[in-house]
Amino acid sequence: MKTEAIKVQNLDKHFDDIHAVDDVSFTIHTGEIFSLLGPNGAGKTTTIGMISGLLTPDAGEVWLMGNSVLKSPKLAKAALGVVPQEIALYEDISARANLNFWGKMYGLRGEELITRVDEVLALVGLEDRANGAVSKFSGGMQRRLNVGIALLHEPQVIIMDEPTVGIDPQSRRKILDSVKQLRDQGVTILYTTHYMEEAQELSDRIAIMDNGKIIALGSHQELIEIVGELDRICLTINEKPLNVIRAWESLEGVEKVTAEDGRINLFVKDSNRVLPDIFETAAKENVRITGVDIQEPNLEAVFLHLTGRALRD
Amino acid sequence: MKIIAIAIKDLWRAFRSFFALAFMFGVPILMTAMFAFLFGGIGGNEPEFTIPRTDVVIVNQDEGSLLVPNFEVEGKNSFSTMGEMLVDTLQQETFEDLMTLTTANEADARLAVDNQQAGMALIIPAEFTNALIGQSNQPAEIEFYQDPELSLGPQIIQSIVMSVVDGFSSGILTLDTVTTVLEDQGVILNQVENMTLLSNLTAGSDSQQDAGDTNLNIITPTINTAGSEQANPLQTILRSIMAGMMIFYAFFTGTSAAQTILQEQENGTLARLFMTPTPTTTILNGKFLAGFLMIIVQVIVLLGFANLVFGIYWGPLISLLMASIGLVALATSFGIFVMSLVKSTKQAGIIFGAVLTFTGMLGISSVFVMGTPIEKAFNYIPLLVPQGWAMNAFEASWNDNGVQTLLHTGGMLVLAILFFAIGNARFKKRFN
Ligand SMILES: Nc1ncnc2c1ncn2[C@@H]1O[C@H](COP(=O)(O)OP(=O)(O)OP(=O)(O)O)[C@@H](O)[C@H]1O
Ligand SMILES: [Mg+2]
Repeated sequence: MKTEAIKVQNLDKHFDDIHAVDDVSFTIHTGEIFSLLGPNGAGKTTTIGMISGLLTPDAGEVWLMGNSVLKSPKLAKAALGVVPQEIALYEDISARANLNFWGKMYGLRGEELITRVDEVLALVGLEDRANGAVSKFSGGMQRRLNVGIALLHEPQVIIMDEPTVGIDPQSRRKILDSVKQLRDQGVTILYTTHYMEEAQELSDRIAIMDNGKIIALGSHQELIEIVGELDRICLTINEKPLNVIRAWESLEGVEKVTAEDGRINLFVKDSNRVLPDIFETAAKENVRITGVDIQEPNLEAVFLHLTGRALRD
Repeated sequence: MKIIAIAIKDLWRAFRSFFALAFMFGVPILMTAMFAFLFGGIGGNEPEFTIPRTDVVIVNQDEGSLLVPNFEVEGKNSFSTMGEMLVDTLQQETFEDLMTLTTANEADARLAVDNQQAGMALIIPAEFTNALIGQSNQPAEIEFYQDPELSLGPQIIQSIVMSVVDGFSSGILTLDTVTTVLEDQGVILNQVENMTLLSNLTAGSDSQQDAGDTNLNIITPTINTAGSEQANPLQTILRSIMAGMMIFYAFFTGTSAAQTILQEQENGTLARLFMTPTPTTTILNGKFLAGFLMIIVQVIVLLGFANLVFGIYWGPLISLLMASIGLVALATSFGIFVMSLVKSTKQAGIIFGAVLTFTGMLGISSVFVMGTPIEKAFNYIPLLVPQGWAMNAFEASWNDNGVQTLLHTGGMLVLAILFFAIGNARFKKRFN
């Protein structure tokens, strides 16, 4: 039987009249990479805040490696490393001084601290800049140090909250590789992102979150099956779409049509077969198609299918 | 211990910040140095200060010399001893502004100095005349018995006496030279003629500065009397300014140390700290400790600097220690208190601009009214603000008023506990 690294049960959190997290439950097994995928404001950071003991839930409970975060926070937190979404570093001191300080906060001392600081510097590729002030670092370097701090005490569970936001491809690659390296060492990882490519590349399982709720949970393959292996044809047109949509919906092989600011999504069984019919129908309705994009099923499509909205704004 | 690690991290960051250093040490030292420069007359302007008049008690024990029954100075009285002649010289009108002379026996004179009724005693020993004219094995001695704290007045008296005695001995040297010349020419003077010549030579040689080595020993014993009534007025002013600046900016240090809690909250490091296995209490206490240590460093550096560079006397060590501990505790806790009332560093700017400046100025207002008619009122008005308690405690310390120092320190500690209790409770509640 797999052990539970993170267990979240019926978590609930309100901020005034915003229901940020709405009855969220999931279990992450040891050694698993688990992604929370959702758009801005979905409630990912709030969920993580409650898991890491930073926020007190209105209702529900969280266990980390079997320890209740609410009842024995010290034990629970000792097993956990958190990479916060916003870079949280002391910019006026060096990278090494930052790592030294945070290492102490995780209870590291003496030789062990020195060794771990050097190992982490190497892991995130900052050996050359170890003694430079963090304020002089590029955004990507700061992100890498931000990640490194969470790894110092070799936690069994690591939570990363959108660790790759707004950085150069090189730094992003470095971070994604280090996540995989950690997985290979048996570390459990909870990863939040709104990039579906990252979720797809890294995750054993993915929870899709929207408006404080988990709306789907499963492996990448399982989630794709929700949209029934349909291709998606994304069209841009020059007219008010109302009539043509009705016509398209009645075509053979078209399962579903959604419209969002001038862009129409048609979910079809086989795009090659229906494309000619789609153009023909458009011509009959005097609608000009100005752009066509055909996509095999992906998480974006799943999100769209479940919410009627795009994952990215 | 994590609490120490947090405090050290904050100290390290503060001491790397130019602004923190400038306000902790730079401004107080610069202000004091500026006043020292202005009032010290270094700039070439006439100094505003008149040298204080010193009460001098003279003990003339000079028994004169059997060889010389009396000395005569032309147009003046005759003296039976060199001691008498010295006393007469010091009684000249020229020295009237500098000293008030009285005579007494040795015991009374020493007592008068010990009781601070006199600034110094000038003790002329029995062998003074004999020693000066070379009839004794010992060199001539004059004892200056004085309060070591009262530097300026007695120092001036001392140098006057020395130059007068220099005059005497150079007179004796000249006499030697003259008699040798006369002897060479076959003229032998009898003793009376000899001494008359000596007196004339002495009276005419008051400004022979380069008399070289005088055979005069100066004895200035150290007396353990601490007092400030007659302290150098420049130092008195510098002391008040330095104390005022130190207190004013110690409160800035306390407040800006507490402000780092809000800064860390805004840049996310506080949240990150809360996610480590470190209790909220430890995190907050570590940050409070940082402020406490910073002010300790600040106070030690400023007090020490003022003492070493400007020679400022802060009072007995015990009193100084009490006032300093009170200041450190109060400035730290006041910072915690005011910062617990605001939500963001933006609001904290107002605290620095308005609250700290106003309370600080009021607290150290005694510095600005020094020597004015409203001075008395400002014994109590500053007690409306914490800085005033600190200022009064330091003033009591250097005035050697142990009771007042203790009372004000007690007041500071009570306030400190109060501010800390409120501030600490508010911060704990905010971060539950
Ligand atoms: N401290 C707070 N006070 C008030 N509202 C908050 C607070 N934190 C989050 N919210 C609200 O709760 C909702 C969920 O926010 P959360 O930060 O958890 O989303 P997210 O999924 O992490 O989004 P993003 O991808 O932008 O980071 C949002 O509507 C947000 O405005
Ligand atoms: Mg977020």
